[in-house]
Amino acid sequence: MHSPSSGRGRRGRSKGLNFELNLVPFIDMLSVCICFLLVTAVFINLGSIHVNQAVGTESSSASKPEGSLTVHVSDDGEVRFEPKDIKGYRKGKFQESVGGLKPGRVDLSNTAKWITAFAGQYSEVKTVLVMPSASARYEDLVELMAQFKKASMDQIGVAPL
Amino acid sequence: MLRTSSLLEPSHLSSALAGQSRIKPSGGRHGRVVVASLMLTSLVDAFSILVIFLIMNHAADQEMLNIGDKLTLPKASASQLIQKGVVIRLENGKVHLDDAVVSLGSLADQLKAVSTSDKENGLIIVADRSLDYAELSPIILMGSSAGFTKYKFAVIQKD
Repeated sequence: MHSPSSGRGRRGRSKGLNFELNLVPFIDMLSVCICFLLVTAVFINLGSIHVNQAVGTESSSASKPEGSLTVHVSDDGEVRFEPKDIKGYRKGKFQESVGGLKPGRVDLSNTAKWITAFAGQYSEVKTVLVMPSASARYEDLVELMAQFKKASMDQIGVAPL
Repeated sequence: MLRTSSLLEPSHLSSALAGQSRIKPSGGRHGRVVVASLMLTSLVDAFSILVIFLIMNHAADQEMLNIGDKLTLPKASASQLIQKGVVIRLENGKVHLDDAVVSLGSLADQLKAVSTSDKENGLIIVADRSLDYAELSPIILMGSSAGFTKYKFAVIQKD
């Protein structure tokens, strides 16, 4: 039997072609590549919540024609919403506050519902000013801001104490 | 019987080691030659898939943040990719400005000394999720007085 890869034909016949690929350098290269990528890989997906803070010389957010929403976060986790200068907004249309959870945590599931409902009704309102109290938890504030971002209210400011 | 053989028949594709792995190279005419062959194709396939997966997950334009061992970042659902900026880390009551510990008193001056182009990139705040806003507020106040208008709160992206 004559095998093209064997390279050992019968005596007097021409040699078969050796068409095998040398995979060893290719495997070396892939191994180096994998090692590099594993060492430099970041397995935790870091993100950031962007906040645009107004400085003293800029006009206040409340003077914008489409209005704004001021959010007070109290020590006991209660979130109070205060719409300002919003066209067509009637007081009492929306619940004005969302009660906190124990101990002093924000009820984030209810705030998400409130924000989604409000953003659905007043989609032109993009400006939010968050006014947290001293003992408001950073984790709750970040999630609250993320909920506003999710509802396309992306011009968020945080008031310092 | 004449056997027709295809070039692509697997038995013809011997490995690179086939030529070198003769157990008895000086054997006689009828000497038995043992060929040890490895199937490298599946290994190369697995490596290739692994490399493609790692390259796809490799975020080259992401800012590398040094997060302390004792810090747990808050999780947030609607976050953006973290980009360049001046990094302030609050860890164990100490303030780190670009990995150097600074006192709260000198922070305002150091932030003012940051170049205008870096100020435009914004201030990245890395803080523990259980922190009170009272500890964070002076940083925001000093940043604002130094001319920073963008703040980026570092979070872990939630699905």
